[in-house]
Amino acid sequence: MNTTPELVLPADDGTAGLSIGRSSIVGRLFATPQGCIGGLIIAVIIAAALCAPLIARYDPLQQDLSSGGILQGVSGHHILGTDDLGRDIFSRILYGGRISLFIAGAAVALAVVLGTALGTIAASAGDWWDVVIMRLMDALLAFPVLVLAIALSLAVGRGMLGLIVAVTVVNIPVFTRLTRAQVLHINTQQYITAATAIGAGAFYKIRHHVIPNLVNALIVQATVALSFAIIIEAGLSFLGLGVQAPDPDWGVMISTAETFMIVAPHMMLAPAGAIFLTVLGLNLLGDALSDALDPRASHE
Amino acid sequence: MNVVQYLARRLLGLAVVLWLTSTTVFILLRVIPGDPVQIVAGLGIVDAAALHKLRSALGLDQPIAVQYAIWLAHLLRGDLGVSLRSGTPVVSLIAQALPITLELAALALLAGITMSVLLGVAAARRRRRIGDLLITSGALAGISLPSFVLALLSIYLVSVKLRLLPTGGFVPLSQDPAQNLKLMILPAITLGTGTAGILVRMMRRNLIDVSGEDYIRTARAKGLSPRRVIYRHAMRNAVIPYVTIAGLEAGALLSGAVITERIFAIPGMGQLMMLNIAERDYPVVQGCVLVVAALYVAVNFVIDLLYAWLDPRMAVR
Repeated sequence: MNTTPELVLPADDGTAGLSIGRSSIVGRLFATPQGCIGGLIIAVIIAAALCAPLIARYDPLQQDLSSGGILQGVSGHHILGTDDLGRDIFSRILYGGRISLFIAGAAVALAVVLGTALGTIAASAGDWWDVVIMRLMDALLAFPVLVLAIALSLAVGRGMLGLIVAVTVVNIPVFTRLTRAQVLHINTQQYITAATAIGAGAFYKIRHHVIPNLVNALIVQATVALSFAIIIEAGLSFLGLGVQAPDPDWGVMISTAETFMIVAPHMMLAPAGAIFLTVLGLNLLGDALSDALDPRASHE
Repeated sequence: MNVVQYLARRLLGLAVVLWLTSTTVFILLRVIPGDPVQIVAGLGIVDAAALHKLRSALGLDQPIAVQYAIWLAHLLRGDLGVSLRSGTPVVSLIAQALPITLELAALALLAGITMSVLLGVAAARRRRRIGDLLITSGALAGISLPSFVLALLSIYLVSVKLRLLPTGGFVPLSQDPAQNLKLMILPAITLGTGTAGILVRMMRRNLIDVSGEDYIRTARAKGLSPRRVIYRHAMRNAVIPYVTIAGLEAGALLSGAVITERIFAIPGMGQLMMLNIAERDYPVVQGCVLVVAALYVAVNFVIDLLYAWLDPRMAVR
């Protein structure tokens, strides 16, 4: 599994974040086929998850254990068929999307906040803080991601909270490193020297100069982290360490489908397709974003 | 800075990271809900005196700092404790499982590198043509499909429908190499596909980046064939960043192996860890996490050294 959080640094042309305005970034983002397709996929998936109660024709937990109810194939009544307990797979995919997207979104948001704070402290507060924080990050990076996530979800307890903690912690080091590198770079820029010269305090400089210049890099990295969070969430739930049955979750659904692979392959294809499309959409969006924010990319 | 100083500094850093890693593992495995003594005793025993006796036999009645010191001292001697259930030393359980995981990860890396060099070069040579589009789209699909999903889909297609390969199982390499490889092909390819996706993009991008350099133009101008220009000149420089990513991916494969082993019923480290999580045999889980993390750190260390050797400018910093 591709479980290495890739560190995507924006082009270091000395104008990090300043050269391109926000509106033109959106324009460049959707000028590329990747940006359009990725944006469309993610918009549809988020809308489907948000509107699940309106779209779904069945309760995702409602069972139909009659012999005609279980393991039904694709039909007009059940557009993705039913599972081993006669539950409507399409409804479970929609509600499962809510769980996956919520966990991934919450974990990445937390990782961005904590990672940015730690990275800024490491870069600004100097010697000892820097050493302690960065060595701790090294220790976290020393674990293969899934193994650390497994250990964390065991320590916190199986379930949604454990998942969020696990996915957050494995993502923190990337954001800390990214922020630290960016802040160190920004601190050498003339506008910071100028701000210092007019007597600006550390907090003022962070709020008015450092954070605005960090945002672009963080957005790109957060998109990559989201796709990665979806994969880890599904993996942990597949292993029985995350969301627990009967809650609808894509990883849990694949885990159940494994048993029925030979008689009912459609049970697996639906959640597999959902995971694939979500991760693909985020990857396309991430590629388009890093190109849109990278002035060099237009040469290629 | 000379080579000895450089190595000494890197080794010291390595020791610090290993210490922090092992401490993290110790803390994480101590906060897991549930009493290990109850687990050993079996949930039936409620006799307080018997539980107390067992607790002191396991050293769990000591203050946490003392437990940590004893655990660290044992760890330094290579003693990872014994399984709560069977009493077997954790080290010997790991000694059986580790070579299997290493074989799987190595085969997956081999599959990933082979696919990425062939496809990456092909895509770079057909840049912006249909072949390039197909390969880069395939690479993106490979990255977007989690290996456990790919593994299950390919079991269904290759093993159940086409009946080309077995659905899972394991035979030791030493016992029957041919059967071992037959059983390992599907796990290695499904595990290596994500890696291949990342490396194909890396290889293509690097080859395109160096294709504008003067020495490539010179090589072309003196009449070398395109194949020779790529493999003799462009590849040499494109490979430096590629090695770093390949190294990171080698570590990531150890992570992915956990799920792949579970799906294909391969008795490696991932399987050992997952089975003992289910059994709540935490000394075994702790040993597995620790060994895998140490291995991961070691792989990254070797990659760093390799990188310094490939590009001597890096080592001086």
